[in-house]
Parts: sequence; C-alpha cells; structure tokens
Amino acid sequence: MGMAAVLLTLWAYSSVWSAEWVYEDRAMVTTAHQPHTSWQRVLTYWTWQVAPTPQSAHVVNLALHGVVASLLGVLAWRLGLTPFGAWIVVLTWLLSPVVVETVVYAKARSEQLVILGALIAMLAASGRWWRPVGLLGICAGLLVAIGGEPSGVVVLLLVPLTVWHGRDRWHGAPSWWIPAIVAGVLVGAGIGWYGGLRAVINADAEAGIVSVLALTWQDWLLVQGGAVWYWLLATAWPALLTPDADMDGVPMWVRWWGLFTLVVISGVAWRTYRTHPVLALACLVFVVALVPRLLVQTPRSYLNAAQFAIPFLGVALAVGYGTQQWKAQWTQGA
Amino acid sequence: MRRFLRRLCGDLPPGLVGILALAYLAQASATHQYAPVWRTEFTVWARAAQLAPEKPRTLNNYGVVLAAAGRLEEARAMFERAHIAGQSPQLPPWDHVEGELRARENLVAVNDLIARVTR
Repeated sequence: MGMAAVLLTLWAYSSVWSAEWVYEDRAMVTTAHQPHTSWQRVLTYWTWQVAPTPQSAHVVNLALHGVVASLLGVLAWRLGLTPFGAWIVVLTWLLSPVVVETVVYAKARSEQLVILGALIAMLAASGRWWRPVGLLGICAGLLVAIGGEPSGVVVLLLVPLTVWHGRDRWHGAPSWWIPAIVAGVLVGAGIGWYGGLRAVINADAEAGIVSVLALTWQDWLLVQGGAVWYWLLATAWPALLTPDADMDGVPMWVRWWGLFTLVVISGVAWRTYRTHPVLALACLVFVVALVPRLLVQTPRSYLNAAQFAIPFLGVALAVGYGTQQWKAQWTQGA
Repeated sequence: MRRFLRRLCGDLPPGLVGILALAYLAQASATHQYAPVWRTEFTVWARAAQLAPEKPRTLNNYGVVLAAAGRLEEARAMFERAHIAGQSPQLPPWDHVEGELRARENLVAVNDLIARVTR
C-alpha cells in the first residue's frame, strides 16, 4: 500500500524534475541570500540557501510533501482514526490536485513549513501535552511554523483545539483551557509587538498602491469568503485550479455563499463534537486555519491554493473519517 | 482470482477497494495533468490568463512572458487587454495600479521594440 502510494505520487509529480523557477521564485532566491535581521521566515530562507537550484528546491518540496503526508497520517491515527482511515487521509493529501501548488511552486515551501510545524505541534498536543516532551513538541512545531512564515501563528489556534479534542482522553491532565489562555496571551503579545491590531490587520498597506482606507473589513471578509468557496470547488473540480485566480471577478452571491459555508461547517462541528469528535475537529481545523486569512488584509494577495493547503488539513481528516464510517456501514450491510 | 482479490484487499470489501482505487487514480491523474502548469514561466501565465481573462495583473504578466519569448505582437495584444481590463471601474484601486500603470509602461516598451524591429 505504502509503495503504491509513493509510486503514484512520484508519477503524479513527475513534471517537477524538469521544472524551472517561476513567478516569485527568482526574487525568493535573491531575498534568501541577503543578510536578515529579523527571525521571520528564517527557516524558509535557510532551506533556500541549502537548495538554491530549481532541481534541488523541487526535490526539497516533494520530500516535504511526503513528510507532511506521513505526519498527517500519524496524527489522524492518534486522533482516533483506524489505520484504514489514516491511510485515506495520507492518500488524500498525497494525491489531491489542490495541494499541487505547495509542491511544484518552490516559493510555496513557506506554506509547507507552516503545515509541517502545525502537524508537529498538533501531534504533541494530541498526546500527554503537559509533559516536557509534549511541551517541547508544541514549542518546536510553533518555531518551525513561524520560521516558515508569519502566518504560522495559526499553530496557536490549532494546538488548543487539539488539546480540547483529547480533553477526556487522559486522566490527571490539566484543563484544556490552560493552553487556550497561554495561546491567547501569546497572540495578544504578538499583536502588541507588531504594532497593534490595526497594524496587523493592515499588514499589506503600501503608499501609492494600497491605502488602509481602500478596503473595509466587510469587503475583505467577502472577497476571502469567495476565495474559500473557489478553492473548495477547485478541490472537487481541478479544472478550476490556476496559479492566479481572479477573485475580484467572483460574483457577490458566491462571496456570501463562501461565508455561509464557513458558518455551516462551524455548525457541523458544533452539532457533532460529542457524537463524531474527529469530524468536529476536522471542521474546526478548516475554519480556524482560515481565521488569519480572513482577518489580516493583504489586498494584493487573496487566498491562493498554497495558503488553502493549511485548512485542507481539515478536509483530508474529514475525508478519512467519512470513508472510515462508510466502510463500517458497508461491512455491516454485507 | 477470488483468492488473489482477497489477498489484495485484506478485510476490505472488494467493491469499496474498487471505488477508492478509481477515486485516487482520478486524483493522481488530475495532479499529473495540473503539475506541469508550474513547469515554466510561460505555462504558468498561459494557464492563469486562460482562467482569468479579465485580470490585469495576470494578462500583464503573460504579456511580459510573451515579450521575453520574442512573440511581440501577441505580447502587445496582451498588454492592451491588461490596460483595458485595468480601467474597469469595478476593479479595486490596487488592480488599477497593476493594470493601468504597469500594462501601459509595458505597452509603450513593446511598441518601441516592434517599431525598432520593423525598421
């Protein structure tokens, strides 16, 4: 099974061996080799220094894709899926065309590192998280994610969620709200360090191009809602996948529909958190991973497929869980 | 044959295995088709322009790639399209910058180049 998955993945991505630098890759090569005073994206820059050619960069991305799929499978199993369900999660991640951008676009490695960090932290949080090894794992995951990209702070939302999911699993575990409070304090401190909430929300403002007054939070929420729906649709219909989707052209009703979908997914989590806790967690991972993208306004860069890969972790978990339930019903019916 | 199928599927119903195999082969095939879009600058922007025919940035970037490949007439047509798309009142202000300013600059440059080549 494992060998078949690896061979199928290598076939699906066979074009990466001859891929060149594209889009913002060349700019990234230059940026990565300049001296940096900030620790933001430090891990991403380091990987670009280690793998400075198109071939080596794509090998690193493909290897990371495999590592992420393996960790996601282990996480699915730790969260309570059967080995069959965990394999479905792995296959969904390995072969889904919606995550192609994170593998074949070298610059999207920063998103892969965020996903890698999130999985390390969630794996640690899914066990005895209060013990030194668990805390070390959470901290390591957070550092990997933020070292990948600033949006790696999403780990601070995913860890309390994972701890909450396993709240009744361990006897003598501290309450789940302790990591939630610590995460809240860290998020608050991070916002303060960045210059306040307004500075974070208007992170992409640039004189002469994007004014902070050019966009309201309602506009931003709606356009990102439309983007969420677009990528969900592209997950099922890969003909829609593109390196630069026209989100400004998405009709208003589709934008509302995208936001409504997020509300529905949150509602599903609320309705199922007792009966199907893994499904509830998968839904919450999807919604929570989108929160930074819905709040921080980066008008020149709407939600793209590489960024959508982070919430897609929730989709993969939901597909694994759903298929596992389907198999159980099929076997009972037979 | 039945014994072979049982060995292959383990405790899974063969019908379920068949459906899942088809689903994941379809996924792998879609990935195999889409991944080459990211192989070169040209394939990236050709695909992007095909799916976003009204987006100034995409059209402008495709024009740049065409100009770099020496396809100047096609590049000019693309910059013109980007420039027109950039003037749409429905576009947000930052897309006007991409469309109107960059596309106009590139249009002037490619027209110069075409004039020099034809002279």
